[in-house]
Amino acid sequence: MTDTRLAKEGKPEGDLLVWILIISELVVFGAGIVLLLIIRLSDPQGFAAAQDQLDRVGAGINAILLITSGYLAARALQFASDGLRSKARLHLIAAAVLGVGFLWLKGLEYADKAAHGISAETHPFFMFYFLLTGFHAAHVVAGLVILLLLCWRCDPDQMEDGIAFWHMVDLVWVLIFPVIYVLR
Amino acid sequence: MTLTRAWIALIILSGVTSAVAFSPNWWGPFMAGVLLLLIYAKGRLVLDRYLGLSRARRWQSSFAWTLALFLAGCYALYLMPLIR
Repeated sequence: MTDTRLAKEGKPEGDLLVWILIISELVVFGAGIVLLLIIRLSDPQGFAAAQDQLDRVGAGINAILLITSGYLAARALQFASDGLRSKARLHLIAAAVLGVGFLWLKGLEYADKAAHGISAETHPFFMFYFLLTGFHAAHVVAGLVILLLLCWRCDPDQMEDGIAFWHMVDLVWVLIFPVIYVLR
Repeated sequence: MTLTRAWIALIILSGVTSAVAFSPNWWGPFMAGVLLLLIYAKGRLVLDRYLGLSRARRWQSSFAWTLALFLAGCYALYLMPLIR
């Protein structure tokens, strides 16, 4: 256990550096959301019209995929703490498969936008859409790599930090999905 | 609340969020408020149960207040074009 690892009593589990990373990422995505809403002030109708071209059903399915993936990752940590390594690995693999499913749906969504000639330059709304969802997708890719590394090592102490990162990715989608796809 | 119950609650809240997406436009400001409350509820569940902040009261309270203030700010920005 390192000096920066937080105590379990009264403080969240995991390394302090992971929490600094989580808070930094939340601030970055939060700033992106606030900027989107500020730019929207100049053209709310244009933003609503642009938003209507998004696939809300697909984004909703993606929310369920990530929430379930986060649940499986949290269960994996419980199993690893109880010394049930094979169960923990199985849950981590299932969590990663759902993460891949998220990226696959996201890829289909981007391909559909490209087929309709929609890019980041089409409208300011799409600039934020591609920026926020693309940056989030990059975090999903990083999270998948972490999940697979955790699956290989299966050390409960290391899992705490890696899985906290995966939950952060989940939390960011909880924030950006309704604002980008639904709020109009 | 157990982890499994938190997951079920998150699935239900996500379903409600998707249902809000297809609500009539004239309910816009009301539905936006509902939507932001749903984000708050889901955010709290992820923070408290998935990230384990329910075992760290001060951190839990700080994150909850920050999230609430952030969403209140978002709602103010959403309402501005309607009241101008």
